[in-house]
Amino acid sequence: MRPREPIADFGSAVARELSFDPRLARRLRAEVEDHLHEALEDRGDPHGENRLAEVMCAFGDPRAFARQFLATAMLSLARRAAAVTALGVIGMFGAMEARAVWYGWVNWPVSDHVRAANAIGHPVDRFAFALAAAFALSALAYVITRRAPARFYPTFGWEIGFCIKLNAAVALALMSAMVTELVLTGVRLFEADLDARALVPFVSLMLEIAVAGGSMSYILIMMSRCSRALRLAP
Amino acid sequence: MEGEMLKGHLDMIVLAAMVDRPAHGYGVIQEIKRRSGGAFDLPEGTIYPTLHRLEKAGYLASHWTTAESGRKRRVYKMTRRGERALSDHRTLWQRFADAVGGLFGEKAHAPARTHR
Repeated sequence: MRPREPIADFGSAVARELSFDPRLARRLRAEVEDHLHEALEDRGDPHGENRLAEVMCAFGDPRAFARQFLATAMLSLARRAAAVTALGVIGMFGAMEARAVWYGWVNWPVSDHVRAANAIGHPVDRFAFALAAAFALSALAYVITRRAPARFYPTFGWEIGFCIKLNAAVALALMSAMVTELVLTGVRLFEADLDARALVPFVSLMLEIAVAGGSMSYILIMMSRCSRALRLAP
Repeated sequence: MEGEMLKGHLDMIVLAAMVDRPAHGYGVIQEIKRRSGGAFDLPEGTIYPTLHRLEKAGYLASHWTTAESGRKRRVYKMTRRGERALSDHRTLWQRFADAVGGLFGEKAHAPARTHR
């Protein structure tokens, strides 16, 4: 057997263990493969199977190797999740404000139906958005104050899980705010003449849907990656 | 040398090994072995978490290059921040080594105590 195949297999094993963080997995796979090839060349007889086994033994087990990155990789996942949901809250706020300013600027007519819908919808919308902002701030503060330990321990896994759940709460609250806005803007647009003035509410609503949907999808991906990462935990 | 003893000082050891020139993971290990006279023979896989951690801390920077063999290679280089950290580590280590040396020296020359 040529040495390249076992080394590639070793690299694949490392990448598989780190599949919860594809960027890190790709990088480490290339680094590990380069390392093993060079170590083999250094020891002479690159086609000798004993040499190959010796090189791999000196490097260590792929799972144990991958485990050393678990704490930092999980913290990085949590930080990315917190950053994305925080950006989601800002994006949502921008879209909502832009629409409100536009309604005032064009003197958008407010019918009784719209007024009635707003009376119920606005408090719900505000509450959901305030909740999202509060959770996002808490998640950010929580994740910023965490430090990756040298070795992963179960409590750290719980802390990262808690942070991801906080971000899931942000995404859920953003979804609720978005659905309320969808209904309120829908009522408004339904009753108005659809001309160029409707473009701003329509585009801002699309933006909100994209932001809330994007945040939710991202958090679901992070949750799945986190649970995959925890399988590597000792 | 005891692995646990080494692990506590790995950041300093890696930074010290990279003070002269940029290096890739395997190169760092070889340099550590060479400069320690073979006393620091770490499990090779332990170097990468340290390199990644030091990079995250801003003490190292890294980029991809192509090795002579044509393989993709990640090369690490010490940053200014890393140089400052190494200098701080060196001062601290010197103080510690002097203190321990003093203790051992005292012990070696002190008359043996007897407890009755």
